[in-house]
Amino acid sequence: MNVIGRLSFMGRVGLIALLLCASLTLQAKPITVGSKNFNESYLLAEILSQLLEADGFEVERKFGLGGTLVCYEALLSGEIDVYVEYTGTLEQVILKGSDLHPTVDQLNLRLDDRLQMLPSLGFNNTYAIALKRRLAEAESLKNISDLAGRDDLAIAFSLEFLNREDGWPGLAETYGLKQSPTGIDHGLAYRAIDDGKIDLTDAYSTDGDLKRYGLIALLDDRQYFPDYFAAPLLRSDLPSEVIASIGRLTGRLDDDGMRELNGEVVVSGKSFAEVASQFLIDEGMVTGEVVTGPGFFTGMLDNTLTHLKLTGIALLLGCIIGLPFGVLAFRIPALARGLVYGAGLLQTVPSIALLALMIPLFGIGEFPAIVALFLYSILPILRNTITGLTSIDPVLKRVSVAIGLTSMEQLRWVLIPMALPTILAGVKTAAVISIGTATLAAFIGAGGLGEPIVTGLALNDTRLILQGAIPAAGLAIVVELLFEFLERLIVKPHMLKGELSG
Amino acid sequence: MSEFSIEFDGVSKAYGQTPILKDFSLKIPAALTTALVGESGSGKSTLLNLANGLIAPDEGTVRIFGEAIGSQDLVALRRGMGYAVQGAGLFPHLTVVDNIGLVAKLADWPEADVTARIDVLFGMLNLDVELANRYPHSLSGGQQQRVSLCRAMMLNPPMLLLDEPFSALDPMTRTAIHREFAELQATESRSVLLVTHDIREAAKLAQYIVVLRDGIVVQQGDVASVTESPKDAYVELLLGALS
Repeated sequence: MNVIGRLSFMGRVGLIALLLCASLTLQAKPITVGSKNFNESYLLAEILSQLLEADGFEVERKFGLGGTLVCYEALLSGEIDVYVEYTGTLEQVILKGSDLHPTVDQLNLRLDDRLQMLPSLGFNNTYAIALKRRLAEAESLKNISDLAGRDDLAIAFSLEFLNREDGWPGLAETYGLKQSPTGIDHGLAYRAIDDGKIDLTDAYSTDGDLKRYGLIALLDDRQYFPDYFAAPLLRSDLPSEVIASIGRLTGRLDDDGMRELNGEVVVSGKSFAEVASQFLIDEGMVTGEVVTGPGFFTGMLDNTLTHLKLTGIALLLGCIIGLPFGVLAFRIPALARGLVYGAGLLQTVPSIALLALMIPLFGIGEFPAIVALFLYSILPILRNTITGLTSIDPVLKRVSVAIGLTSMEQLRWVLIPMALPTILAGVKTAAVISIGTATLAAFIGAGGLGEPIVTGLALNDTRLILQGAIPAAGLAIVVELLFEFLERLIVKPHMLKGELSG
Repeated sequence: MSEFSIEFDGVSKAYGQTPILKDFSLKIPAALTTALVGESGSGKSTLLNLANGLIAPDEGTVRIFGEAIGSQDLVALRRGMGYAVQGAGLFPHLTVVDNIGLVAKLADWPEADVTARIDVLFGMLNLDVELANRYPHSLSGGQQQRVSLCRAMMLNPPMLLLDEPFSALDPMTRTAIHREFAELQATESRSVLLVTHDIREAAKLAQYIVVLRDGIVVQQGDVASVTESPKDAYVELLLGALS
């Protein structure tokens, strides 16, 4: 049982993993196209990607990033090169302005020099308040102003809409609405409205789901909602040929066209790749066959491998830090409280918030995800190492000193082997937590099994959600079994049953 | 070599506010088995732990074969003092031979020497060779304590520190191990410090007895002088068990 040898082996693997990560980020970068985590953003990003590919550029896709600021930060830091933004969002969320009808030229004047917005693709995807056609007819609801005083209606809005200035707060003020809507994930809202759990929710005017669920939008009779023209937002330092290629999309999509394409995905269930390809061919911008998307299992292996890579590296780093610090805290008890407290504090940060915190520090992609997962894995490893060591029979600790073992020899031959079952249990806990948490890493573009889950949530596509959720659950079970096997392999059975009475 | 194995010279030791020893001095003769006898709380275990540097005195000096502890490498010092405790204190994750041979291996003994020495020790303490690769939990209490004594004597140290090693054994086993141990001592004449609350055991195994009470030496001398002329009622009370 060569524990020290195993540690240093793990150290070596961790080092190699770090070097791999570093070398990946140093490679010459293709054009990286980003998207937010909703249907239309995915589709537009896919259209952009295929167009760029058709024009001979290598493209990397980082889709499904968790929100406007994530995309914007990613663009600023060069993690992505282009994504499709909306004029109103740029004005309000990023530039903190209040112009309801900003033009692209006006926006570019105030935008960070490193970035540039191209002319609009054509359509205006503004907010709409959606409800079932039947309900609208039965209750004679036609305009948003008809909602005044209707406390009997169940209203749920996406969290972003609920909180942003140009969302609910302004709407309520303009129309004198007193209701207190609840927050709901945008992807789940339609299902809730379909099930009759809620009556109204916010929608995008080009949303293909409007068609799918038989919803209509109330008329914005006081012209409250600002313009949200879709336009590519990109880094100014992109080669001019790339910018020209992206510019070919200018004015190609009006509201109806976009809603139609969105509907192809959400109603007809076609893949983004297929719809994007069909559009580009129909528009005569690309020649060739229509591409179909990947099958159910194609992405799964890649995603599982990415997932394993994320959690594996994070776990190794967790061991490399958690085990020595656990030993240190055992030797210097004054340290233990502070270390466990610190690691515990990290654990209480909600995982999605911790991931978001990583963005300003490390950008998006695998690296920040690994850092976040690593931080999560420290506590169980650290705590179990300390517990395992401190709970050893004091007589045996005394004997190990009294028979003339050095401090390192005590650890190597007595203390660590005896604490091993507890330490292993800690590593196992960290591994299982890590696998679960890593599904959220897709929000910051790290890929893995969270990618289909996040996409599936955005698209309300159960099949996609399962494509991520099933292997993630399977992985957790396999890892659990693997650790049990490992335990049997390296821990003597009598050491597991508490028969430690020498 | 000093004529004393352990010398306590003006030693004081307190745990928090509780003083255990105060300006305590005692010389323990070399090449004999000395029994420290007293009730729990008399300070006998503290003396033993001072002897191998597990605890340091607040004041005073402890000398081992004439050399003050602190002026020498503690690990080397402890390897020269075999150690056995009540309940054996065997490491549960190591086999019998690994328990016994651990320190020798770490002291870079050749494999063959380790095996040879363990063979000798097995013979001395009547241990069945078949136990060699078993784990401690599958051994009887007496077997565990024999293994523990083997471990203590593995490096053939000039001194043994025994902290009530026989007290948790059943009477039959205890008697057997007492006999083996006494035979061993008769041939090897090692310096042994045996801590015990059992004066019967002390009389059987030791040549020199030190009776302790509340951190003070009540009486010391060879076995006969203590057993035949107890100095006070406390010693007589302890001896009561003998008659």
